[in-house]
Amino acid sequence: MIDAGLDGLHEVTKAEVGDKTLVDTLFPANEAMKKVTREGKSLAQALVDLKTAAEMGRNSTKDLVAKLGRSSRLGERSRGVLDAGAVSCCLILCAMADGILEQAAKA
Amino acid sequence: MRIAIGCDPNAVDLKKILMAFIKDKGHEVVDYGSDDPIYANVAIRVAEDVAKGVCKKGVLICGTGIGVSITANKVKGAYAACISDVYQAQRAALSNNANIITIGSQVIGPESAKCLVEAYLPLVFDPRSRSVPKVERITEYESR
Repeated sequence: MIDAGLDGLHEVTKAEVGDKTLVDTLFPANEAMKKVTREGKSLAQALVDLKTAAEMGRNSTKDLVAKLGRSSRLGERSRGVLDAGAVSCCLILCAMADGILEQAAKA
Repeated sequence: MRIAIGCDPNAVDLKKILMAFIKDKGHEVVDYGSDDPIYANVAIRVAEDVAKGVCKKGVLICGTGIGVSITANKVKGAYAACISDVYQAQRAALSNNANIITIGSQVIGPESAKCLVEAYLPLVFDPRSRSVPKVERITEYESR
């Protein structure tokens, strides 16, 4: 699903990791899911790795200068704050993962 | 029981040892990572998921166990005990209802750390014990 999301994004934007966009969250989250699936780990571990990668990706945007999108007009002034797209993408991914984790914990 | 574990980059070796040990005891272990030099990030992730009930208990490790303990205790519903002996491990569960233990990899040897985990994990807080009003004062303050 996340893979499809990335593919969809690539059709409309050329944003890559390091451009200070939601790709900085989505790409590492996707890689983490792929890695944990390859290693045959548990669902809980996959979801926790997804959250961890998404959060680290989000945090990485703080020291970046925006290269694409609206905030790119700020240039150097965009350094020092998290990217709004990376933050909201992280919120969505983590909420999704938490929802599944909490349901699984109850079951 | 699903156990969350996480550490800073200094404590990777001890974390791996404890992960294998906890698995051997028949628990599911979820690894919250060890790559982030800002130990607060992993401590927050473990504390939040233990507080939410995603994992039943947590184990956090840094150099002294202090930093991850201070951090985890900032998360509502997380109660982290920084322990270094077996009696503390027992009382953390029985007297203090701690849902996380924190250990210092530069303080505790691997075999001692296993003893701490082994002592702590099976014990459950008794809701009729005389510690109840003391613990309740903490949760009451927390939700003010």
